[in-house]
Amino acid sequence: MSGDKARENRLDRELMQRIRRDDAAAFEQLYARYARPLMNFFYRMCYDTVAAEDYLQETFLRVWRARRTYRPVGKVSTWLFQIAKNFWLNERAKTKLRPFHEKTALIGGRDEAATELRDPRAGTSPAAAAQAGETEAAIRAAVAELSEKLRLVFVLCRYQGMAYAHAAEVLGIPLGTVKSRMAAAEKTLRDKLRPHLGDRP
Amino acid sequence: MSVDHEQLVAYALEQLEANERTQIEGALAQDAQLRAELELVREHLALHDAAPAVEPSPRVLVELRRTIQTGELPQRPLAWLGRFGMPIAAAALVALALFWPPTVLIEPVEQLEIDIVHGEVEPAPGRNLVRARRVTRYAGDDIASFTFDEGSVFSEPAFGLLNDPEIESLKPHFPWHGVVLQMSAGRVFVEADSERLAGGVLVFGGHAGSGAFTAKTLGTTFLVDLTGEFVRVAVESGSVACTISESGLALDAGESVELRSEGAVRGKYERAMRDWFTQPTLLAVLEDDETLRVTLRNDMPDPVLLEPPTGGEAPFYAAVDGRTFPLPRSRLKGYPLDGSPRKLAPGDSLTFTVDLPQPVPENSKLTLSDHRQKLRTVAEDRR
Repeated sequence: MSGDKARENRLDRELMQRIRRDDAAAFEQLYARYARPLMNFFYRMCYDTVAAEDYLQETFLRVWRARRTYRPVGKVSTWLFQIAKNFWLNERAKTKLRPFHEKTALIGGRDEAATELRDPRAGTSPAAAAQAGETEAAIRAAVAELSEKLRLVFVLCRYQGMAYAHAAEVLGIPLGTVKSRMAAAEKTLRDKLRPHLGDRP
Repeated sequence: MSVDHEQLVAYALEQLEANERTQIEGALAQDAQLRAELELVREHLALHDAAPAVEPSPRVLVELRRTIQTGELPQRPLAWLGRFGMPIAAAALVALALFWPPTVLIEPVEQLEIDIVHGEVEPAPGRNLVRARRVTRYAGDDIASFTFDEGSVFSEPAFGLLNDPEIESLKPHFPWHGVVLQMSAGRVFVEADSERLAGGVLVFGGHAGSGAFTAKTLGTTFLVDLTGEFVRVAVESGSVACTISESGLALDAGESVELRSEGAVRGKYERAMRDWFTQPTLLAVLEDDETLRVTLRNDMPDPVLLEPPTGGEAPFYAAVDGRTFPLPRSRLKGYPLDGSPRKLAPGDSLTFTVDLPQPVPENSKLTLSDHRQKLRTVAEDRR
């Protein structure tokens, strides 16, 4: 582990120790550190900013509720993502029981609010933007159509930049399974996105 | 014209080598193309859908602040006393004295409502997931939504391995190695592979209205689905023995039964349930090459209900060395059932003979089964 990472982990643990003592300021610091990656995790899982915010909020509420049961074993980030992942799976289980309202958001392709926030194509021609938009929609649809298991691995490793070993800890699966799921996810995406590969940027 | 054998061999080898080379080159080219496509996909992903993509709105933090400040931040009793003075503190002390020992706020375990909605078997060994949500206690306050693996559910020590917060908060409410479920809580759905459980036995207990439910799996995949007032037990492999109130229930692989919470049986599952309770013993003896003597005996403490088939179906089937043939009524001598069910009292039996459609060869195996395939026996050969 690099020195930076060790420092980060130490800082996280110190924050959690303070949060255990009901330190709301430390809680906000932890939020500031992890709100964005967790938000993006949820967003990548559902492509719905509103839902992602709700999930994020619920995740941190759980952290607060669990503050006294936290044990300084392993990385805080792993713990946070485990909570997020579990929450996500439970939410998905609920949606299986009722109409999947996020489906349009997932397959429809674009979440305008999110796109607005970070559109890298600002300033490009309308035609190029439209084409890029189509590709983006296709990517989102392809990612959304990945199975839950593949998508979890893909989002954590690809979008969160999580190391395979770290993702394995978060998901509670062997490292080899993470690798094989990642390979399967990429293969699936490649097959689905093949028609769009011609419009190389 | 003579053909040079060595030249022919050399030519053939050359062709083979060329073919092989072509194949290898083709495979390499294909592989290279796939890799290039994969790289393109990665580039596309990076460009078009790159993380980090979104920022949470400030609303989230504001809401979190509000929630933890108004809902869960600890009170400060000393500051509070300082603010309102000693009279109130004295009153509080009196109240404390009056109501000591303090009322236990935690509801008894029977009041715990747990809603487990999804079970999924992960491929990783020993890590079957059982997910649960909406655990309700404290008079309907929805406190939890969590995911845990089967070890965590069914064995007390495994709770400590979990990070998910509500598990810890629930720990005191699971006093034994199982989960106590309230059937009236709504929907409960548990899937677990008990072969991976320590000891191979899974126990569920529940309380609802007038009924109690307990089930034990014996090295089998086990499924319990409590929807409203109904319990569905399905067995995917092996067998399961359950106890529902005072009655017993056994199911084989692929069977399922739906029960009302008070232990009654309804609808299409009634037969499956009754079969277990009232199943007679089937005995068959091969008297000669073509005659089988069959006895149905009630070894159960309750009456057995014998149901003949309807619609002209043969009541029994025989299989000899893998060949199955029906045994219609015309071949059953003394078979007493004429189309309507008949009860067989405990200890009673009925016997009839069967004219087999073909002689049974020596040293062959004859299997007899009833039309529902519930009663099966291998005939005893007394020739």
